[in-house]
Amino acid sequence: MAEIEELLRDRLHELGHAYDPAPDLPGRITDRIERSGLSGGQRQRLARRTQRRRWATGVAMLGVVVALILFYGPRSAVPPSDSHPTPAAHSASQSTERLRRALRIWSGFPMKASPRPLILLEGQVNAPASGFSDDATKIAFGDGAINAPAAFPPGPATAGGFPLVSAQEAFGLFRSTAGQGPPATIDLDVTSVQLGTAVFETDRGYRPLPAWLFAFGGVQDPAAVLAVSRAAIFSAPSLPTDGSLAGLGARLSSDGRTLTVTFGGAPSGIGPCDLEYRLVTAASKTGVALEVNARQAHPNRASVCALPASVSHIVTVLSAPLGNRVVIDAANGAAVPVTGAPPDG
Amino acid sequence: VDVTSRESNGGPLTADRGTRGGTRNPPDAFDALVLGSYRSLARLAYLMSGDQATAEDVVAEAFARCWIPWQHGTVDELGPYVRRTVVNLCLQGQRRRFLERGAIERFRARPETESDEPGNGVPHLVDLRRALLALSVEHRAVVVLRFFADLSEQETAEELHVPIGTVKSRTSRALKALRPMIGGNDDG
Repeated sequence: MAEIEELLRDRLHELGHAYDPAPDLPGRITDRIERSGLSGGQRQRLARRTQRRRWATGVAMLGVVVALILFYGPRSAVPPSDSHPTPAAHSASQSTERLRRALRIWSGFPMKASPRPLILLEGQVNAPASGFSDDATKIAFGDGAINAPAAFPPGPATAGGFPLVSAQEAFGLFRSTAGQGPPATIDLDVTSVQLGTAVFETDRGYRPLPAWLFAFGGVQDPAAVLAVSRAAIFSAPSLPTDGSLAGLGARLSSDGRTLTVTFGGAPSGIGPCDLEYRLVTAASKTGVALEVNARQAHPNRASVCALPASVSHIVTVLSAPLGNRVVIDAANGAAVPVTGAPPDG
Repeated sequence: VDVTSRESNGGPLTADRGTRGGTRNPPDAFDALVLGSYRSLARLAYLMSGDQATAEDVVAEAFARCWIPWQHGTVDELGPYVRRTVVNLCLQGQRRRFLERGAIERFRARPETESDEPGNGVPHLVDLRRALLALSVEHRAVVVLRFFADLSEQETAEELHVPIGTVKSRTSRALKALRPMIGGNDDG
């Protein structure tokens, strides 16, 4: 019995330590405490205020998107009346060119690399979720005014199949990603460095990835720097945006071929201001480029349109499974976040 | 705060003890406890609940519930107090409204986090995780407290508010159920 107990003890510790809790958990604990310290009435008022703020922000953002659709979409689809090319053909050729251009810049994506190279949609540094003791520490972090620790801990060469950078190399990113804010008046001291995981946004959704966690004196939460080497991160050259639809998202169904594309659009049923949306796609060996074209449903009736907006969807079925390919927004050449797709293949 | 050096598996978690009699306790000690123990408590909650997000919710809720008594100085030893709260919340499980609230918050905060169960790809850990989840939550609690938090039978009994005989019988039954998954000799 003692043997089985010892074995169970070892295995439980192994399983327990295979789980690395989210580094933002202390911040969430603080949030929960702050909320639980309020009275019921205060909490309700706070919830209502937060809800109102979310609505206001959402409507404002989507309003901007629809403004872009109305401004650029119809213009590209319908040329001025004193010219006489076929509108549909003209628009299609512009779209085709944008789609081709988007596919071209991702043509070098290494499809066969294993694991699939990361495509990051945000930076490699996650600032501490909360817990700056004052503005000076926050400014110091933003400015990269951080004193290196006396020694950096060693780390493994790989994790999860990804080659890793050393803690020292990761530390260097604080300076390279320092913002343009006000100059720091103090320096932060690193109090601990350890390898853990943190969540980063990739073109395959939010993923927990190996990260060097740096704790600082005077800051509650650690900052996380992606520990994956540049060799396993792919980025394509960015393209100047043409101002058309931005902020595409997509969800891949379990068949691996059905993509539900999400974008900000006008709600249907608003009479003369109705817009018709059409998704155009083009595919290559390394990518699937998308463009959502908007067209006024009643071009002769529309005059001044209000700009309410809602999240809209268009479903498309790819001719071949998405696999490791990148979904690309043809408007700016950026990778589109795809959820439901496995990180590899 | 050096996070790693303070980590433990749920024993006394801080040197800063509260004082009885309504004296307010320093917030710094609470912060230090959070930073020093959230990982070990989340792991304990994970082994008890089998779900990472639930584990983190439980830990956040447990600290939130302990904050006011701690502030008012009515908690003697904060570490064991928080751990006991974590264990109780896990035992109470999904019936609690805070889990629903947590689920909504998780949905808002990280709508698309990929599923990545700890130990995936390591067959004996996958087996152990399944076997643990097949136990009743009461049996799982005994196993986790005895063999992960390294509590004695007596301490486990106090933690769970059950007689020591119950701890012994639950341990025995749980070991019997887990034995095929973790190997070892059958002679007991």
